[in-house]
Amino acid sequence: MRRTSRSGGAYIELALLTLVLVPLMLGVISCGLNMHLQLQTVQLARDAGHMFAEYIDFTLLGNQQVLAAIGNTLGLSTTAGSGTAVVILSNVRYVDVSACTLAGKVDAHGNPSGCTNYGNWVFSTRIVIGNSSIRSSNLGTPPTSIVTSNGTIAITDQVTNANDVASVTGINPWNSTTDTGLPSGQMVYVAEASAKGFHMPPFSAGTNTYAQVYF
Amino acid sequence: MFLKKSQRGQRGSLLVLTTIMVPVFLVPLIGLGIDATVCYIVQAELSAAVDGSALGAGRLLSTNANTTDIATEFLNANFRVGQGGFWGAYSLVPTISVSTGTTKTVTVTATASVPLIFMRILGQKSAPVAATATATRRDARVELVIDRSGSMSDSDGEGSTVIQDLVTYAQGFTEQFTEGYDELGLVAFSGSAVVGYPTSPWPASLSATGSGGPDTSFYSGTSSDMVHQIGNIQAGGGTAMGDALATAYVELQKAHMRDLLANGADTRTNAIVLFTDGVPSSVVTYLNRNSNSVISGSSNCSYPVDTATPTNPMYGYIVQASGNGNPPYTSAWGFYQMASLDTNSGHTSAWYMANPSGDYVSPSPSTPEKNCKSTGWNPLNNLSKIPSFDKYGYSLSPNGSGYQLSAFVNNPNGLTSIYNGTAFSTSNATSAYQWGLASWDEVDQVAQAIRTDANYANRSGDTSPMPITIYTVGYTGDGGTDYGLLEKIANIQGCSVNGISCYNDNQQSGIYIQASNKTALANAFSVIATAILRLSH
Repeated sequence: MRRTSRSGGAYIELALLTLVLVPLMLGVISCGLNMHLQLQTVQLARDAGHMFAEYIDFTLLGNQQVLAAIGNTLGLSTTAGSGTAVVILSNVRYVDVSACTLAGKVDAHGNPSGCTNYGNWVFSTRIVIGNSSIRSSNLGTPPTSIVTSNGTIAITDQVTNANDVASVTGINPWNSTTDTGLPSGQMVYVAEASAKGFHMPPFSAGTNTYAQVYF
Repeated sequence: MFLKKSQRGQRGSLLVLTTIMVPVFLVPLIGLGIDATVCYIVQAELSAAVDGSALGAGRLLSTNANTTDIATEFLNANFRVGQGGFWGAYSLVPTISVSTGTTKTVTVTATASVPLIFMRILGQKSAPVAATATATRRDARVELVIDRSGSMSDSDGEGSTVIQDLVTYAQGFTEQFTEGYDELGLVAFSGSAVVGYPTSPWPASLSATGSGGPDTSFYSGTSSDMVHQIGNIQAGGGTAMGDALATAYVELQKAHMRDLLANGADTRTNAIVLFTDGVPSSVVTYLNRNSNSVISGSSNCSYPVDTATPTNPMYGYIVQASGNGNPPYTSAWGFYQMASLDTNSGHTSAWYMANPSGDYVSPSPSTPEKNCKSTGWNPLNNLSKIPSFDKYGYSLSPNGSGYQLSAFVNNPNGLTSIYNGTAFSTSNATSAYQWGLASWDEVDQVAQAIRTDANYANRSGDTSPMPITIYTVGYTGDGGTDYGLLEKIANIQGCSVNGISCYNDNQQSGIYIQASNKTALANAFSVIATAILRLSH
């Protein structure tokens, strides 16, 4: 009887330890995997933005495939709505007098007239690669009806369509008094990447990863 | 069968050992791993932020942007201290340095502190991370080549004419470059080409080592600056695409040699931006070239063969046309004055901008054509064959079979290619079709010479070839153009026309953009300006 109770002690010890170690290990694994995904997402946004700012045309399938290869481990697909990751590329510009002039929305004195987005940041290009249901852009989403097949948005929509206004923070428009900010007519290139997080309740809720880079 | 005393003493030791090891060893070890991973992630985020900052600011080098300010803005926008996603990183300290000159560099270095979660138990509350990125931009040298043929007077369907749209967007394109830094020049072409900017010296030299070429005063505000010259452009006449590209190449070489001699080096980015709404319809020729005269023996011309050093050269252009100007061509005729050789003192560059058909006259002086037969001077009645080379020496029949990488879009005559299956032949000097093939090959050969800087060996004192990138814009809103030809001129990556590859990976590769309306045209110029102003590495 004494021997039986002794040998059972090891099992009890193991059971007690398992209660501690297994959750600890699972927590570490899920935490590590999510960190790994976040790291890859940052790298994907960086690479995508780098190429985008270097004028790689991501409306072309070949270039999308290059990006999909970079984001392969995140599940980035060139098929719209597929995969477990998304890359959102945007060009944004500040609507100043010169933008209004480009669209012909000025009066005889050259002042904005009918240029309803004057003083706002707006989208001039929007390209989405991958599964757009993963996440929407932090900058906002222009209506698909005004985005052409090559991702561009007409200058008229840029300066007049209220739904084309982008939420840009951190970059200031040109200030002619201090000679600072983004010069008139210049664009900001923004790359955002997001991927489905590792899902293993209760250790990991599967929260999507996200990274954003302005170029 | 009973356990020894020492063995009995080990019972429960695993639990005790683990109870001690988990908080003392395992948790700190895991914590160290997590802290290290967090640092690694923040490092990656800082690297991306610095990269974006350097490229964003570098892209704006040579603009009026305050580089240090804009680099800081990009960095702060990318690495948002105090906001979620950055693991509580703080104390972001940027260091930005900018070097000026023709090749400009911006270097962004940043450091930040990452709060540690577990290691603070051991007294280490934070860890520093740092990243550096550098972007380089070279000043640009751009020759804008504008088609102002007769079709450019057509309506754009949106209340103005195509030439009016083009003038607006070409001016906007010019203004995207920085006066005083970038060098810009203008060539406008109809039946022949003419240098629109700079306006002096005039007439513009056709020698690659002559004075002139694109300069940095293109937006000086004077009535002769490039923006004003573009504003003066009127439409009319033919489409001398080959002459235009050849002239643009000469202009770039002039500026290259000027800068090379002045500075001992020339590191600018060279580009030609070709806009057209049509297809080639003109060939510039040297009919009585000493080594390759095509003047027939029965022509009665006084100078059927020029001397080795041109003395009475029959320079001029021959046009091809049909009822609506588009292929298939039904007639070829000439012989007209090349605008670049016009010696009339009143026919200045500004005059030619406003008079697109100013070159639609017989060559002057008329001495070289003395006694040639026909009513007036029509070279086709005097020719034994089509010349093998154009005025500049570019081959009109490089492969002997005719240009086959042609693919029309919106051709109102329904023809899909300039090549109809009949091979090129120089023997039929009156064939409009054959002259058409020659004009296509002329354009292609000039473009290839530009992309390879074929004249490098002839530039005495030059130390390295000029890499020149050609960008093309084909406007289809008022008729047809040839995307096959324009893609090949630009040598776009992956180019394939009629099942034949037209991309050469040993040559500079540009962009071709097809624009069907004024909005697309505006976008095309914007995209190309961005591509030229992009960073180099």
